[in-house]
Amino acid sequence: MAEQYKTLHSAKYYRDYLKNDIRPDCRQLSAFRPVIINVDSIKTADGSAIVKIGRTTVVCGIKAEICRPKPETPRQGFLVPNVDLPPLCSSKFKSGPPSDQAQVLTQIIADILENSRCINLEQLCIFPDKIAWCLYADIICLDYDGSLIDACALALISCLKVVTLPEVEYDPGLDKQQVNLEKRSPLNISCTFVATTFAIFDDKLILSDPSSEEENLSAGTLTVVTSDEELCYMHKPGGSPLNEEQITKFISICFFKLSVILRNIATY
Amino acid sequence: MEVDTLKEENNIDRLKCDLGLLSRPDGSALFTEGQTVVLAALYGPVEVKMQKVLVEKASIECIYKPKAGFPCVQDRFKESFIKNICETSLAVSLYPRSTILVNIQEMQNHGQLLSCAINAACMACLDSGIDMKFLFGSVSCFLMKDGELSLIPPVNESSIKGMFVFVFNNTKGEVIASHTEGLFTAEQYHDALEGGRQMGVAAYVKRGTRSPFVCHLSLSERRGGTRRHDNDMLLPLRPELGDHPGYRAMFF
Amino acid sequence: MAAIRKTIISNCEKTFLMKNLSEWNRLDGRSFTEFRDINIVFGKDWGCCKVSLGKTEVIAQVSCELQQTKSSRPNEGMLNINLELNTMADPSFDASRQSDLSSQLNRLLEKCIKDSKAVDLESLCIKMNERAWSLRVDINVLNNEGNILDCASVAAITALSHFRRPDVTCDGVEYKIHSIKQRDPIPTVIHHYPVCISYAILNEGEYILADPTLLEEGVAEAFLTIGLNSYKELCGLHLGGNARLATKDILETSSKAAKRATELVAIIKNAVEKDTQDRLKLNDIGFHIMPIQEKIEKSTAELSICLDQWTLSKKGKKKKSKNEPMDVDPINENNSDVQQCKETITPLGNGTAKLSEVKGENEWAIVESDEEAEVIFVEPPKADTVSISDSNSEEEQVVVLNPQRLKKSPSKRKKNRI
Repeated sequence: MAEQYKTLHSAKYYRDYLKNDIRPDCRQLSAFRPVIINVDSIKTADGSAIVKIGRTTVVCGIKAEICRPKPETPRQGFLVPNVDLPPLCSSKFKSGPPSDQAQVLTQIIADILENSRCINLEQLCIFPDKIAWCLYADIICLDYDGSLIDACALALISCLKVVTLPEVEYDPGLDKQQVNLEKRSPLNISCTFVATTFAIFDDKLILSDPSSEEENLSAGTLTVVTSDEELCYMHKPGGSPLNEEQITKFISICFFKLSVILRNIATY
Repeated sequence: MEVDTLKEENNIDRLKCDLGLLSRPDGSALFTEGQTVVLAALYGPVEVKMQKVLVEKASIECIYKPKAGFPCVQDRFKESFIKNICETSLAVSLYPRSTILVNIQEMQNHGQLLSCAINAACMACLDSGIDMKFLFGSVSCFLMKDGELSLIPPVNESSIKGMFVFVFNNTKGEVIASHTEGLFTAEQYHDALEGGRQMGVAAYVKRGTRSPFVCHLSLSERRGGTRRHDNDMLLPLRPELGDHPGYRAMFF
Repeated sequence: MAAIRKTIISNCEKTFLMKNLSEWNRLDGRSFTEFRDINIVFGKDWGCCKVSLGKTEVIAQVSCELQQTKSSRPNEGMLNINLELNTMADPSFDASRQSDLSSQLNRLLEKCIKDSKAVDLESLCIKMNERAWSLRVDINVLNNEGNILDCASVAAITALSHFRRPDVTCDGVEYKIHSIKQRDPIPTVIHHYPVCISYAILNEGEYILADPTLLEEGVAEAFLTIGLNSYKELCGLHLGGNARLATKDILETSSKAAKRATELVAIIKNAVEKDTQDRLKLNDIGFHIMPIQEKIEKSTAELSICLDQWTLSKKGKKKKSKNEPMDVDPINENNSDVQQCKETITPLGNGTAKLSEVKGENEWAIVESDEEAEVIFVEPPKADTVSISDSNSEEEQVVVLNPQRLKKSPSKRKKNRI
């Protein structure tokens, strides 16, 4: 019976639960789903991480390639994030060229990366204007169940922390390079960012870490990204309007979450 | 971006808008914010593509064209951002099984592209006479290295620490969308939000009292009776504007 | 309900247009050889301009990038021209797909500007076999009211001549790009200024309309595009569509086009020169200071031009008009033919003798019902003194070359009426 009720009147079904300050998956309104992080399990990549937030599962792999720096920025390497939403993760997505949502997500992740300044691209340069590292960070969603930005950001930062690059010797006179695969060194990551998504239900109720069902029913989402003491991203793409007090509340929740996640990351 | 050898205008003369410049679209607006210029045009509701049909409401397609180069992922982001805002503000459920095309063309970039594009989109919607739930206005706010906040893009780009773009609705002045760049603290965000609203509103109001935000709705320029309104469309909206000075400044 | 994206031209509009053309009137009051006003506005950035041709508007922006030289041309830079047909200009344009129209227009522009070697590519090379500038012209169409190509070609060449690229130095290993603040930017070397000039051909080459509007484009059977520079050198010629045009007509049209090209180039050069002067004076330049009221003044000005031309074209008609396909008056036919057609200025274009399946646009032709013929019958006398018709003399297509008569093949006419 409950099943039919849920399919036919999904909004009402949710409202009934939320009236009692509980969500259908037994969470409190401000509760987060469990987060699992697994690093370095993909041996073919130079660094990898798998993140699970509830059912949302995201894999991030970083592959390093040697390339030539751009003439405008001869002393910098590249870090290119790319988010892929294959049909596998949800029936919403179809195969073929990247969907708009995947492209937007890629841009959001790239923005977060740039805003947080967690990685100095000059450390990726091997020899100015000649060779540099290009890191391709491929983020693939395996299961889509809401709060994707959170999962992707977490996967990327965990992955960056475990990436190791082989040592390269370069002779500019001969234009020859020698890669020493045995000797690998990690990157210098200056900060850790954590993204937190909220859904706004019926213009007033705030659900943290929404599932994909909740995202669909809600009238807007807000994503806050915190990095150490500071904020590096506040993304609210339309939807229900918010006032200041609500925003303040979000930010404080985010900082709390950051500390929890940091402890989590610190364990590996 | 071009070197700025020219002296910066003061805050008051920064906003300008011209409606109905293009003959083909149902509504068009050229929005100028300082030295940033964006052209927006709206067609709607028009025939919908099969894969985009929504049975209970109109689907909104937003197309953003940069001035140079191919559209990139960044432009996709702008498209989706503006599309989301339009979806919130337009009365989409009135036009089921149809499309509303919102086209944005960058004309000149001087640092406030996103907010200018959002404002242009709003004005184009207004010009086309499509039904809206509320109007929206956007403000860019720059955070300097020394912690100062400014609504004017600084001459020296390297002094910017962060940038905020807020989109307010005209009914209660609440935030309907927000986007940020750079690192900042929670206090700075609040200051920017408050400051953005106050300063933005102040700019609109001053503008309004001096020479009204110029929007001449040119009936004569229109081809045929494809548009339902021009002046009369503003009337039903008026009662609820009251508390958002931006609106008053914009239209009277 | 939701409007259809594609602009559909109704038979009514088509008939009306053709009828007016037969009286040597165009719907916007221009004469057949007249062009719409061109207006060039520069943006704040180098190499950015907005060009409007009547109500057709495009914006062009030149950008540059340092690139590896091509091994086939080690001492040359690169030039790419990209015309985008935006949904903004016309809802039937699809931004995500490359249409036939857009690839055709792009190729014509490329032929006209790139293949005619208007831009000195060698000067774009920085170090042979290593680095060269790659220029890219992006043209976005803002409003499509016909003849995008002419407008785009003017925009492209204007933007190129206005563009300045940053200075570059090389210390042997590293290339350093100096910002515009540090060093004065360098203009591009332009050898000559080619522009495209388009004509629409209607009614089997009978009417050759300069600078067609959207409606005229929709009704036209064929297009003639001539790429020319101010030295009257041909930089491209394209005749597309479905009409037979005599060589003589092409030659005649191109000499008219050459005149227009000279004018256009003068306009472009003046505009660029004026902008340079303004910049030297450190005036504020850009789209942000575009005057707002311009539009209204312009529309009234346009109106008075139209009115002027209304009388003008009526007068002018006498000497120009040679045939009235809609005029079905059998009495007038013979004698007027002889008298008037000597004065014909616009030549007829049917060089070939075959009765072909080529479509003509005259739906009001004689084969139609009596009532229609009557309706039309009333109008012509007041519209002109010169009613010449040919609609009866169907058979001998060959005579067409001879200016005395013009004929239609009955087979054609039947086709059109559908």
